[in-house]
Amino acid sequence: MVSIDFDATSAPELMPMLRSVLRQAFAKDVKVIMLGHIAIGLPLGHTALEEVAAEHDAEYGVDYVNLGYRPGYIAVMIAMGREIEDIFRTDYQGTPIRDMEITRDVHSYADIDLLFGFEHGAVIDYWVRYAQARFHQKMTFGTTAVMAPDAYPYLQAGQIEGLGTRGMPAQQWGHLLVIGFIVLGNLGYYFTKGKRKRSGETA
Amino acid sequence: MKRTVPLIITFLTGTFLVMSFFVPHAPFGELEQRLLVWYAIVAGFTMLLGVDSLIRAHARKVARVREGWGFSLALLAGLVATVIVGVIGRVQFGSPFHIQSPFMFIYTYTIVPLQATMFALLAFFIASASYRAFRARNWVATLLLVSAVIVMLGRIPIGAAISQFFPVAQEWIMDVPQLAAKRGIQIGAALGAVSMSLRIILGIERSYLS
Repeated sequence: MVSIDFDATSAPELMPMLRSVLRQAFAKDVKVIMLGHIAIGLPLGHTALEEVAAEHDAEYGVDYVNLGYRPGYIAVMIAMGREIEDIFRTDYQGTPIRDMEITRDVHSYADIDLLFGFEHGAVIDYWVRYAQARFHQKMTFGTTAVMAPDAYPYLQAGQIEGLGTRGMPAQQWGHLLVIGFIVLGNLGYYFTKGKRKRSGETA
Repeated sequence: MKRTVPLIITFLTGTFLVMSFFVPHAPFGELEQRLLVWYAIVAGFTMLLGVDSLIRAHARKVARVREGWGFSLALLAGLVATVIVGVIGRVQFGSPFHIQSPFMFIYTYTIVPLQATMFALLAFFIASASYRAFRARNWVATLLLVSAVIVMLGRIPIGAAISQFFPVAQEWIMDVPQLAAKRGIQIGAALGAVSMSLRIILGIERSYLS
């Protein structure tokens, strides 16, 4: 199960992760069930799913499905622990999930081998609190860099299986630029120290 | 009566949901599931309320020709146009989210670039913040500065190319001091949430009724 919990603001960081996970899944004949808790971001996930599925000649409803979005993500997460059909009666197109091969026998987290969440906000906390802590769903996440520290406690405690933290070449120049600004700021701060003292400025 | 009935409903629902967490068997489990579905339906209606409020606020602004009414008009026109192309997508392709639908065209070539542009402004704030916040004013600020530089270098390939110290040190910073602080904050927040939930269930906290 893949959860799209980000929107275009985090697409440059999370879309490459999403595409590579989908490629791995389809290459290894792993069935993909997509859903999302950020309504405005879900079409991004859907676009990636369709693109990658086409690369692998995967068939909709057999190899992959997009369940879409339902409001109230805490309720959705808890309810899926008992019966997914109670919340997702149909997929995003309105096709009943029991009419599709991929979801015909999927009832709860017990039928999901792994949840892979792509997160740019607090939804990760709720996945862990409700789907993992209560229903022991195996899960792993790909997060934005700023969200990664929030996931570390779960990773160290073994509540999540993994966290995407490698493959940062694209951010290399951004990091170096910020380090450059820090150095510049401190040089300026150091060389204007005497001037500030004379004018009585404290900071 | 106007306040008592909501307080009773809150108390009963809250107590029931807490009990169903510990006793997932009948009748609690089934009833909890029913309540969760209701919750999702109510959450759906809150979206309608949001759209209603948005339309009213901006329509009023346009009608009274207040400052910035042109932006409100653009917003309303965008809203109507998006709904129309959504319906067209539904009729033509079975879903507005079909890759070739006009809704997805608007999404891909308008919403996504606009959102990305707004968020890209953050880069300038980060650059400005890094210039102002990470100044070696005292030893605590210097510690923060050094940690930030180590983490930033340790996270990128060039850090490891300079020295293996950076990835190892950043891993330690993330796994020990960062994690300790994070856990403290999370435990504190969780205790706060439990306390607030109890106050609401027991009717001590009533601000949501006003």
